[in-house]
Amino acid sequence: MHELSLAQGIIQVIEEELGKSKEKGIVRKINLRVGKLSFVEPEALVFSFEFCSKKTQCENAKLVIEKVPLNCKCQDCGKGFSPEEAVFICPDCNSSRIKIISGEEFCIDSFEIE
Amino acid sequence: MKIKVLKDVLKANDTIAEENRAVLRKKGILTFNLMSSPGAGKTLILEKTVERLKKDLKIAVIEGDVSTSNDAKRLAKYGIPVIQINTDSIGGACHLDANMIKEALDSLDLSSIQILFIENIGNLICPAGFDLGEDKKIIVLSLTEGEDKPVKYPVAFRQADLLLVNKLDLLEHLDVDLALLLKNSRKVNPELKSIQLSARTGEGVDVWIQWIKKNLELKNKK
Repeated sequence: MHELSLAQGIIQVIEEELGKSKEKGIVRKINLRVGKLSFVEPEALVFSFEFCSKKTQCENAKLVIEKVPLNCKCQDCGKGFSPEEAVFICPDCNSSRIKIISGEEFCIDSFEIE
Repeated sequence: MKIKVLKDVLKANDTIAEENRAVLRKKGILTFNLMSSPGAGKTLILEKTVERLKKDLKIAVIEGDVSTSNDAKRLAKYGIPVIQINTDSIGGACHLDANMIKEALDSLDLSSIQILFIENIGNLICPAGFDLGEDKKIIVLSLTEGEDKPVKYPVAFRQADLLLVNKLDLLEHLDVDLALLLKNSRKVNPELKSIQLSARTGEGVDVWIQWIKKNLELKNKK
Protein backbone atom coordinates (compact mmCIF):
# COMPACT_ATOMS: atom_id res chain seq x y z
CA MET A 1 0.00 0.00 0.00
CA HIS A 2 2.13 2.86 -1.21
CA GLU A 3 -0.69 5.35 -0.57
CA LEU A 4 0.66 5.45 3.00
CA SER A 5 4.05 6.69 1.77
CA LEU A 6 2.33 9.18 -0.51
CA ALA A 7 0.17 10.48 2.33
CA GLN A 8 3.30 10.98 4.44
CA GLY A 9 4.91 12.73 1.46
CA ILE A 10 1.97 15.14 1.16
CA ILE A 11 2.16 16.07 4.83
CA GLN A 12 5.92 16.56 4.61
CA VAL A 13 5.63 18.89 1.60
CA ILE A 14 2.81 20.94 3.17
CA GLU A 15 4.68 21.32 6.47
CA GLU A 16 7.79 22.48 4.59
CA GLU A 17 5.76 24.97 2.58
CA LEU A 18 4.03 26.26 5.72
CA GLY A 19 7.42 26.71 7.34
CA LYS A 20 8.59 28.84 4.40
CA SER A 21 5.37 30.81 3.98
CA LYS A 22 4.66 34.07 5.74
CA GLU A 23 0.98 33.21 5.82
CA LYS A 24 -0.18 31.24 8.84
CA GLY A 25 -3.42 29.42 9.39
CA ILE A 26 -5.16 26.09 9.53
CA VAL A 27 -4.86 23.89 6.44
CA ARG A 28 -8.38 23.32 5.11
CA LYS A 29 -7.87 21.87 1.69
CA ILE A 30 -5.07 20.26 -0.31
CA ASN A 31 -5.44 20.18 -4.10
CA LEU A 32 -3.72 17.24 -5.77
CA ARG A 33 -3.12 16.37 -9.40
CA VAL A 34 -3.11 12.61 -9.79
CA GLY A 35 -2.13 11.14 -13.13
CA LYS A 36 -3.80 8.03 -14.47
CA LEU A 37 -0.45 6.27 -14.67
CA SER A 38 0.37 6.97 -11.03
CA PHE A 39 -2.04 4.16 -10.12
CA VAL A 40 -3.05 5.85 -6.90
CA GLU A 41 -6.24 4.60 -5.33
CA PRO A 42 -8.05 7.79 -4.15
CA GLU A 43 -9.99 6.04 -1.36
CA ALA A 44 -6.87 4.42 0.03
CA LEU A 45 -5.06 7.74 -0.20
CA VAL A 46 -7.78 9.58 1.73
CA PHE A 47 -7.85 6.84 4.36
CA SER A 48 -4.04 6.87 4.72
CA PHE A 49 -3.99 10.64 4.84
CA GLU A 50 -6.57 10.80 7.63
CA PHE A 51 -4.49 8.34 9.61
CA CYS A 52 -1.10 9.97 9.01
CA SER A 53 -2.22 13.58 9.42
CA LYS A 54 -3.39 13.18 13.01
CA LYS A 55 -1.55 15.64 15.24
CA THR A 56 0.15 17.29 12.25
CA GLN A 57 -0.56 20.67 10.68
CA CYS A 58 -2.64 18.85 8.06
CA GLU A 59 -5.09 17.29 10.50
CA ASN A 60 -8.69 17.56 9.22
CA ALA A 61 -7.62 18.99 5.87
CA LYS A 62 -9.64 17.78 2.89
CA LEU A 63 -7.88 16.18 -0.06
CA VAL A 64 -9.24 17.33 -3.41
CA ILE A 65 -8.08 14.98 -6.13
CA GLU A 66 -8.02 16.08 -9.75
CA LYS A 67 -7.53 13.06 -11.98
CA VAL A 68 -5.24 13.74 -14.92
CA PRO A 69 -5.77 11.59 -18.02
CA LEU A 70 -2.93 10.07 -19.99
CA ASN A 71 -1.84 12.40 -22.81
CA CYS A 72 0.84 11.43 -25.27
CA LYS A 73 2.50 12.95 -28.30
CA CYS A 74 4.10 11.15 -31.19
CA GLN A 75 7.68 12.33 -31.66
CA ASP A 76 7.61 11.40 -35.33
CA CYS A 77 4.33 12.73 -36.75
CA GLY A 78 3.37 15.06 -33.92
CA LYS A 79 -0.03 13.48 -33.35
CA GLY A 80 -1.42 13.99 -29.85
CA PHE A 81 -3.51 11.17 -28.38
CA SER A 82 -4.91 9.85 -25.09
CA PRO A 83 -4.60 6.08 -25.00
CA GLU A 84 -7.20 4.20 -22.93
CA GLU A 85 -4.59 1.62 -22.03
CA ALA A 86 -0.92 2.22 -21.47
CA VAL A 87 0.02 1.28 -25.01
CA PHE A 88 2.58 3.68 -26.36
CA ILE A 89 2.19 3.37 -30.11
CA CYS A 90 1.00 6.21 -32.34
CA PRO A 91 -2.50 5.47 -33.68
CA ASP A 92 -1.69 7.38 -36.90
CA CYS A 93 1.83 6.46 -37.97
CA ASN A 94 2.47 3.44 -35.71
CA SER A 95 5.66 4.98 -34.33
CA SER A 96 6.83 3.91 -30.89
CA ARG A 97 8.68 7.17 -30.21
CA ILE A 98 6.05 8.48 -27.83
CA LYS A 99 6.41 11.19 -25.25
CA ILE A 100 4.10 11.24 -22.25
CA ILE A 101 2.81 14.79 -21.83
CA SER A 102 0.72 14.19 -18.73
CA GLY A 103 -0.71 11.36 -16.70
CA GLU A 104 2.39 10.31 -14.75
CA GLU A 105 2.26 13.03 -12.13
CA PHE A 106 1.38 12.83 -8.48
CA CYS A 107 1.78 16.35 -7.26
CA ILE A 108 0.43 18.95 -4.90
CA ASP A 109 -1.00 21.78 -6.94
CA SER A 110 -1.87 24.05 -4.05
CA PHE A 111 -3.33 24.16 -0.57
CA GLU A 112 -5.75 26.44 1.18
CA ILE A 113 -5.43 27.86 4.67
CA GLU A 114 -7.65 30.05 6.79
CA MET B 1 -6.09 31.75 1.14
CA LYS B 2 -4.66 29.56 -1.57
CA ILE B 3 -0.94 28.80 -1.66
CA LYS B 4 0.52 27.43 -4.90
CA VAL B 5 2.94 24.54 -4.43
CA LEU B 6 3.28 22.56 -7.67
CA LYS B 7 5.53 19.97 -6.11
CA ASP B 8 5.92 16.32 -6.80
CA VAL B 9 5.00 14.36 -3.69
CA LEU B 10 7.80 11.88 -4.27
CA LYS B 11 10.37 14.66 -4.52
CA ALA B 12 11.79 13.77 -1.10
CA ASN B 13 12.36 10.20 -2.23
CA ASP B 14 13.90 11.31 -5.52
CA THR B 15 16.31 13.62 -3.73
CA ILE B 16 17.58 10.81 -1.51
CA ALA B 17 17.74 8.49 -4.54
CA GLU B 18 20.03 10.99 -6.28
CA GLU B 19 22.23 11.10 -3.18
CA ASN B 20 22.43 7.30 -3.22
CA ARG B 21 23.27 7.40 -6.93
CA ALA B 22 26.10 9.87 -6.27
CA VAL B 23 27.55 7.71 -3.47
CA LEU B 24 27.38 4.57 -5.61
CA ARG B 25 28.89 6.36 -8.62
CA LYS B 26 31.79 7.65 -6.54
CA LYS B 27 32.57 4.13 -5.39
CA GLY B 28 32.15 2.80 -8.93
CA ILE B 29 29.41 0.36 -7.91
CA LEU B 30 27.05 -0.91 -10.60
CA THR B 31 23.59 -1.18 -9.06
CA PHE B 32 20.56 -3.13 -10.25
CA ASN B 33 17.04 -2.89 -8.88
CA LEU B 34 15.17 -6.16 -9.45
CA MET B 35 11.39 -5.96 -9.44
CA SER B 36 8.74 -8.63 -9.98
CA SER B 37 5.59 -10.15 -8.58
CA PRO B 38 6.02 -12.49 -5.61
CA GLY B 39 7.38 -15.84 -6.69
CA ALA B 40 8.70 -14.86 -10.13
CA GLY B 41 12.13 -16.19 -9.17
CA LYS B 42 14.21 -13.14 -8.28
CA THR B 43 16.03 -14.86 -5.44
CA LEU B 44 16.88 -17.99 -7.41
CA ILE B 45 18.13 -15.85 -10.29
CA LEU B 46 20.33 -13.96 -7.83
CA GLU B 47 21.62 -17.20 -6.34
CA LYS B 48 22.64 -18.47 -9.79
CA THR B 49 24.12 -15.08 -10.66
CA VAL B 50 26.18 -14.83 -7.51
CA GLU B 51 27.36 -18.42 -7.99
CA ARG B 52 28.66 -17.50 -11.45
CA LEU B 53 30.14 -14.08 -10.69
CA LYS B 54 31.53 -14.25 -7.18
CA LYS B 55 34.89 -15.70 -8.21
CA ASP B 56 35.76 -12.69 -10.36
CA LEU B 57 33.67 -9.88 -8.95
CA LYS B 58 32.77 -8.46 -5.58
CA ILE B 59 29.04 -8.62 -5.15
CA ALA B 60 26.61 -7.53 -2.46
CA VAL B 61 22.85 -7.88 -2.17
CA ILE B 62 20.18 -5.82 -0.45
CA GLU B 63 17.12 -7.97 0.12
CA GLY B 64 13.72 -6.38 0.56
CA ASP B 65 10.83 -8.29 2.08
CA VAL B 66 7.86 -7.35 4.18
CA SER B 67 8.82 -10.07 6.62
CA THR B 68 11.36 -12.88 7.27
CA SER B 69 15.04 -13.12 6.38
CA ASN B 70 14.57 -16.30 4.35
CA ASP B 71 15.91 -14.79 1.12
CA ALA B 72 18.89 -13.16 2.80
CA LYS B 73 19.83 -16.52 4.31
CA ARG B 74 19.67 -18.14 0.87
CA LEU B 75 22.14 -15.59 -0.48
CA ALA B 76 24.40 -15.38 2.57
CA LYS B 77 25.34 -19.02 1.89
CA TYR B 78 27.52 -17.74 -0.94
CA GLY B 79 29.72 -15.79 1.44
CA ILE B 80 28.82 -12.33 0.13
CA PRO B 81 27.56 -9.31 2.10
CA VAL B 82 23.76 -9.39 2.31
CA ILE B 83 21.58 -6.80 4.02
CA GLN B 84 17.98 -7.70 4.77
CA ILE B 85 15.41 -4.92 4.89
CA ASN B 86 12.11 -5.93 6.49
CA THR B 87 9.37 -3.38 6.11
CA ASP B 88 7.02 -4.90 8.70
CA SER B 89 8.77 -2.80 11.34
CA ILE B 90 8.09 0.36 9.35
CA GLY B 91 4.42 0.00 8.47
CA GLY B 92 4.69 -3.04 6.19
CA ALA B 93 5.48 -0.99 3.09
CA CYS B 94 5.08 -2.91 -0.15
CA HIS B 95 8.13 -1.35 -1.80
CA LEU B 96 11.63 -0.24 -0.94
CA ASP B 97 12.27 3.49 -0.88
CA ALA B 98 15.46 5.50 -1.27
CA ASN B 99 15.85 6.13 2.43
CA MET B 100 15.82 2.41 3.26
CA ILE B 101 18.59 1.94 0.69
CA LYS B 102 20.53 4.86 2.13
CA GLU B 103 20.50 3.19 5.54
CA ALA B 104 21.48 -0.16 4.05
CA LEU B 105 24.40 1.48 2.20
CA ASP B 106 25.63 2.86 5.52
CA SER B 107 26.05 -0.66 6.84
CA LEU B 108 27.90 -2.02 3.80
CA ASP B 109 31.63 -1.69 3.14
CA LEU B 110 31.22 0.10 -0.18
CA SER B 111 34.90 0.10 -1.04
CA SER B 112 34.80 -3.67 -1.51
CA ILE B 113 31.75 -3.91 -3.81
CA GLN B 114 31.62 -3.83 -7.61
CA ILE B 115 28.05 -4.92 -8.22
CA LEU B 116 25.10 -4.34 -5.92
CA PHE B 117 21.82 -6.13 -6.50
CA ILE B 118 18.74 -4.77 -4.79
CA GLU B 119 15.94 -7.30 -4.66
CA ASN B 120 12.80 -5.24 -4.30
CA ILE B 121 9.67 -6.45 -2.53
CA GLY B 122 7.57 -8.76 -4.69
CA ASN B 123 5.01 -6.38 -6.19
CA LEU B 124 4.66 -4.93 -9.68
CA ILE B 125 2.87 -1.73 -8.72
CA CYS B 126 4.38 0.19 -5.83
CA PRO B 127 8.13 -0.36 -6.35
CA ALA B 128 7.80 1.31 -9.75
CA GLY B 129 7.08 4.67 -8.12
CA PHE B 130 10.25 4.79 -6.04
CA ASP B 131 13.66 5.54 -7.49
CA LEU B 132 16.34 3.97 -5.27
CA GLY B 133 19.44 5.37 -6.97
CA GLU B 134 20.10 2.31 -9.14
CA ASP B 135 21.78 2.27 -12.56
CA LYS B 136 19.32 -0.14 -14.14
CA LYS B 137 15.86 -1.40 -13.36
CA ILE B 138 15.21 -5.04 -14.17
CA ILE B 139 11.81 -6.68 -14.29
CA VAL B 140 11.58 -10.40 -13.75
CA LEU B 141 8.44 -11.95 -15.19
CA SER B 142 7.88 -15.67 -15.00
CA LEU B 143 6.07 -17.50 -17.77
CA THR B 144 3.37 -18.75 -15.40
CA GLU B 145 2.15 -15.17 -14.90
CA GLY B 146 0.76 -14.91 -18.43
CA GLU B 147 1.24 -12.69 -21.46
CA ASP B 148 -0.74 -9.66 -20.37
CA LYS B 149 1.25 -8.52 -17.32
CA PRO B 150 3.23 -5.81 -19.18
CA VAL B 151 -0.01 -4.11 -20.24
CA LYS B 152 -1.59 -4.60 -16.81
CA TYR B 153 1.38 -3.09 -14.95
CA PRO B 154 2.66 -0.61 -17.52
CA VAL B 155 4.48 1.73 -15.16
CA ALA B 156 6.93 -0.90 -13.98
CA PHE B 157 7.52 -2.18 -17.50
CA ARG B 158 7.80 1.29 -18.99
CA GLN B 159 10.70 2.17 -16.68
CA ALA B 160 12.57 -1.08 -17.00
CA ASP B 161 15.89 -1.38 -18.79
CA LEU B 162 15.70 -5.15 -19.05
CA LEU B 163 13.01 -7.80 -18.91
CA LEU B 164 14.10 -11.19 -17.63
CA VAL B 165 11.56 -13.81 -18.62
CA ASN B 166 12.07 -16.61 -16.12
CA LYS B 167 10.91 -20.25 -15.81
CA LEU B 168 11.62 -20.92 -19.48
CA ASP B 169 11.83 -24.64 -18.64
CA LEU B 170 8.04 -24.60 -18.16
CA LEU B 171 7.28 -23.25 -21.63
CA GLU B 172 6.29 -26.61 -23.10
CA HIS B 173 3.89 -27.30 -20.23
CA LEU B 174 2.01 -24.01 -20.40
CA ASP B 175 -0.43 -22.39 -22.79
CA VAL B 176 1.43 -19.11 -22.50
CA ASP B 177 2.40 -17.38 -25.76
CA LEU B 178 5.96 -16.10 -25.29
CA ALA B 179 5.96 -14.09 -28.52
CA LEU B 180 2.79 -12.28 -27.41
CA LEU B 181 4.28 -11.63 -23.97
CA LEU B 182 7.32 -9.98 -25.59
CA LYS B 183 5.10 -8.06 -28.00
CA ASN B 184 3.05 -6.75 -25.07
CA SER B 185 6.18 -5.67 -23.27
CA ARG B 186 7.26 -3.65 -26.32
CA LYS B 187 3.83 -2.05 -26.60
CA VAL B 188 4.46 -0.46 -23.24
CA ASN B 189 8.20 0.04 -23.64
CA PRO B 190 9.40 -0.18 -27.25
CA GLU B 191 13.07 -0.02 -26.20
CA LEU B 192 12.80 -2.85 -23.67
CA LYS B 193 15.39 -5.58 -24.13
CA SER B 194 14.57 -9.06 -22.94
CA ILE B 195 16.43 -12.18 -21.98
CA GLN B 196 14.68 -15.50 -21.55
CA LEU B 197 16.09 -17.88 -19.03
CA SER B 198 15.45 -20.59 -16.53
CA ALA B 199 17.22 -20.04 -13.24
CA ARG B 200 16.29 -23.63 -12.37
CA THR B 201 17.96 -25.36 -15.35
CA GLY B 202 20.50 -22.66 -16.17
CA GLU B 203 19.22 -22.18 -19.72
CA GLY B 204 19.81 -18.60 -20.87
CA VAL B 205 21.76 -17.67 -17.75
CA ASP B 206 24.91 -17.12 -19.87
CA VAL B 207 23.20 -14.36 -21.82
CA TRP B 208 22.17 -12.65 -18.58
CA ILE B 209 25.69 -12.90 -17.17
CA GLN B 210 27.05 -11.37 -20.38
CA TRP B 211 24.54 -8.52 -20.08
CA ILE B 212 25.75 -7.79 -16.54
CA LYS B 213 29.41 -7.87 -17.60
CA LYS B 214 28.75 -5.61 -20.56
CA ASN B 215 27.07 -3.08 -18.25
CA LEU B 216 30.01 -3.25 -15.86
CA GLU B 217 32.43 -2.53 -18.72
CA LEU B 218 30.32 0.42 -19.85
CA LYS B 219 30.18 1.76 -16.31
CA ASN B 220 33.94 1.43 -15.83
CA LYS B 221 34.62 3.25 -19.09
CA LYS B 222 32.67 6.31 -17.95
